[in-house]
Amino acid sequence: MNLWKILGLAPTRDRSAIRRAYAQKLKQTHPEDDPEGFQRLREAYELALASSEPEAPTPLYWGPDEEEEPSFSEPFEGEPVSALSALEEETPPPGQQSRLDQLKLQLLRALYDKDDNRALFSWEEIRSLPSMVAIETKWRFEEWTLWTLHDRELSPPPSLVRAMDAVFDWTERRKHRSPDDVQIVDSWLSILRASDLIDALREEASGWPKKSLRYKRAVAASLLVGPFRLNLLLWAACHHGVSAAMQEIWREIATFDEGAVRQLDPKVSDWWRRRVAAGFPWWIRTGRNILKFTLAVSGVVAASFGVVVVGLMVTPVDNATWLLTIAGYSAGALLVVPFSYLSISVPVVALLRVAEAASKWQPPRALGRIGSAITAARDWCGLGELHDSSELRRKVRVLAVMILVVSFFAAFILMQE
Amino acid sequence: MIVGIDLGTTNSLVAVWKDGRPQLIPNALRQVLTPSVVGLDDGGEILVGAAARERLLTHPELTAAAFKRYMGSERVIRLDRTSFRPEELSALVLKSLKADAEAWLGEEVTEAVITVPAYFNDRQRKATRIAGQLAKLRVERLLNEPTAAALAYGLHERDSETKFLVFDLGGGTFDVSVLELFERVIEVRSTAGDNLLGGEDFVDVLVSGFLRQAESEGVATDNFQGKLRAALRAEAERVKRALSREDSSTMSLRLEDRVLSWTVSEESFAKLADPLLKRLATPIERALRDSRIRSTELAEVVLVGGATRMPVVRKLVSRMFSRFPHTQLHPDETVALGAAIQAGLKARDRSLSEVVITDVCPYTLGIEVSKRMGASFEDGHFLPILDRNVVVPASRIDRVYTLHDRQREVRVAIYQGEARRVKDDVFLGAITVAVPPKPPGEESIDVRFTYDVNGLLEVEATVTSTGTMRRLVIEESPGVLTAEQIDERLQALAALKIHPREQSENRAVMARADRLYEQLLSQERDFLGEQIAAFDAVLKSQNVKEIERAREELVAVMDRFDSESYL
Repeated sequence: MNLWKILGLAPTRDRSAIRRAYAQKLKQTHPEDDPEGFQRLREAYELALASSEPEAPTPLYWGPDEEEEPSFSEPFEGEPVSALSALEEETPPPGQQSRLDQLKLQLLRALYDKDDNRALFSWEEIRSLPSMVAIETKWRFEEWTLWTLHDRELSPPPSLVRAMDAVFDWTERRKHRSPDDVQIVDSWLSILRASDLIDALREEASGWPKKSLRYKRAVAASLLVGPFRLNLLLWAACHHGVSAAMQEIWREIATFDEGAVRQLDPKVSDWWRRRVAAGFPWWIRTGRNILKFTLAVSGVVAASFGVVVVGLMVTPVDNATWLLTIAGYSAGALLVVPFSYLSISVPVVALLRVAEAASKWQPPRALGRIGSAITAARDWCGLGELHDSSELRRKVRVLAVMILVVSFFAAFILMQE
Repeated sequence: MIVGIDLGTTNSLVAVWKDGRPQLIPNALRQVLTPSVVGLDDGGEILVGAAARERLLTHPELTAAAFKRYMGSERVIRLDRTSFRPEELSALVLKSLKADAEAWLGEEVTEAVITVPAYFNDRQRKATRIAGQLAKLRVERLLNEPTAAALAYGLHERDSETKFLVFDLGGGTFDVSVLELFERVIEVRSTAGDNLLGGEDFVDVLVSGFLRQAESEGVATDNFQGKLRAALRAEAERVKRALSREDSSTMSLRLEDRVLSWTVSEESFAKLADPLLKRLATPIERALRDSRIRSTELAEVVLVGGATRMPVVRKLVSRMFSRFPHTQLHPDETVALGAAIQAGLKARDRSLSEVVITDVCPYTLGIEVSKRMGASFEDGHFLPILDRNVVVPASRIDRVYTLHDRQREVRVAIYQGEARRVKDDVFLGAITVAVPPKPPGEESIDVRFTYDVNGLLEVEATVTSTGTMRRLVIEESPGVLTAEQIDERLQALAALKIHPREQSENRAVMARADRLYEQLLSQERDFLGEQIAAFDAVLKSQNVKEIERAREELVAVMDRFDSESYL
């Protein structure tokens, strides 16, 4: 390969030979004088190293550790132990156990017994050991934790994962793309985040009876995490907003792996997966629409009836023309009532659609700085988040209605003049 | 002539490679450390160094210190009615060091190697280079501080094969580098750090502790202004240093009606400083992980930087690595010596021909891209191009495509950092390349990103269809001066009056006397006042010998009253 020519060496797997060759060449291809030549040399060196004998892997230690400050004379030495040895079998008899060994045993027993509090307590004790300041001790303990829990198929509870993350910095390391990401940690962190999400949903669900603004989401959350209540289900069936909230929640849950969402009742999550993801069945949707239509029509009829009654009470009528008057008022009401409803709702909906379009609008690149200035102004008004927030939508509606009512009054007053 | 300069947060030094070894150059006060403090004299003249440092207490609104922390930002510091950028203040310090070097060497100094914290980002490095330019120094090479220390350390370990770690805790920054020495090659394997952690933060801890104590005694601390705050800070610094030698020390502050004091022991200081000590662990672990070297494989942990004198820091390092760290190198001087070695290497001094050093850049470099999310694109995602800790110089080519129909130009936004969203990364600037208008995706540019040997970014772009290649200037770089702005500042600096170098000793002594006069009381103060007046009279005589003698007398008097001199 060309890389051996660059190194000036016959192909070999001997690391020291490769290093020597690199060092020799480096003296001639100085990075300051010949940056491109140096880059080629460095690439060749790294490739050669990658294909050479791997360095003796640093063994993972999980034998008994010292718990007092180690002597400062030699670097650490220990004996590598095979992955499947049980800690209990290897540990020296109780008289000779170090504090760390005792605490490790305590932690393992607590995990086997599924006693979360005791596990967390043992963890805290280990964390506060003075020897944990030593980096090597801390890393070895992390390796022991990962290997042991993995081998014994013990899954730590979310509270313990959170505590471990605080010490081992897993989330930060993932953010910084550390080269030693371990898969099992990913699944634990995923379980932790899923657990946090369920807790947040429980919080939301408990807000439900108080008629908070986010009651639609609270109802949906209640259906997921709380005890089953028929009235909630009816809500979901009839109220479009609630089923939309259910779909939103389900999307958040679906980002986690199958095994991550542990706290949900499997029957409930199964029902959700079938119903919510696919949407409610057609007959519920039709029924909802029929219900809406019926309510609208009866509203219009009732309003018209009210207008007729009021009109009759106000207008002097003699017996000959009362039928005509009723017919006149009814016709007028049937025209006016829907008209007034439409004249308010249509502009409101139109305004809402325009606002939504504006909030989703991305300025074309050609506009450059002007585009970003417009976007900044829009976000400052709060429009940027319109399509995400139903509260904002509600506010726009209220604002539109207020504007319309005011303009009607103004028109009315002007017409008087 | 080329020199090496350690431009530190608290102190700066200049050194040169001469007669086969690195040598520190003394300043006009015959000291090798020059405080990184700049001030305005009453006559409007610029003071740099010890004299300015004394005036930090007597005229805090006319004096600036620790401006290295603002390099690479738009922050402006006001001295009386003039505003200065951090690059300009650093340039004034560099000018002073340049003058010292020229006086000592007897020849002109045109070029310098300046050290920077290894964790300085692109903007901060560029600002340092510009500071050199403003001081009329050609700065072609920036050297990372831990690497400089490694050079000074490794020069004596020629034939060994070792892995070691440099722990550099300076006044304002913390750097960790893991290095390997083999076949006379010093290879930096990884670097990490914290640009907002240094000795000054330990001083802050004492200041806040004192203020809390004062509040508990019922004193309103909110209206501690100017001089009082400067005096409080100076006390905290003195006590921090005292705790390196003694088990406890007392901070005292004289108010109008009373004297506040607070005794702090070594133990309680360690407790107060605990959050800072915890922050030291993160970059160390990250550097070790990135280098794939375990702490037990290190032959040595080398301490550099004035703040490593603190017993709390030394104890922590010992416990973290289960060994006593290497403290044979002078913590304040090593980096400058390393810079001088690098200067010698640059000048191709024959005695150094066998040493090669390779370094890394600690930040991932990437660009902003849009990711497809369903039907639309979501922008603001970070695409890494050059990973952190890649050996520099390093480069990589990436192809970017147009997104819109008949797009006339492509704007590539460049970031440094590790976060997945660009809003959490450092924005370095953007490059704009004109392309022939075509349907979306049919036009592309090959962009080559290169980290040069200084860890600075260069960009070249080739439009694939036409084959034209251009070296691009990164625009919209926040915190970095453009060429026109540099010219402006050069003129502005040339117009400043700098206090004459020959008068430095007298000026420093007067400033110290002024400061001491403010601190003393009744009889001692009156006595000092008389001595100052006498010295003033001799100064007017302009008789050099007499002035020298009078100065020595005054210094002797002050030494009696001053419990601790400033350096």
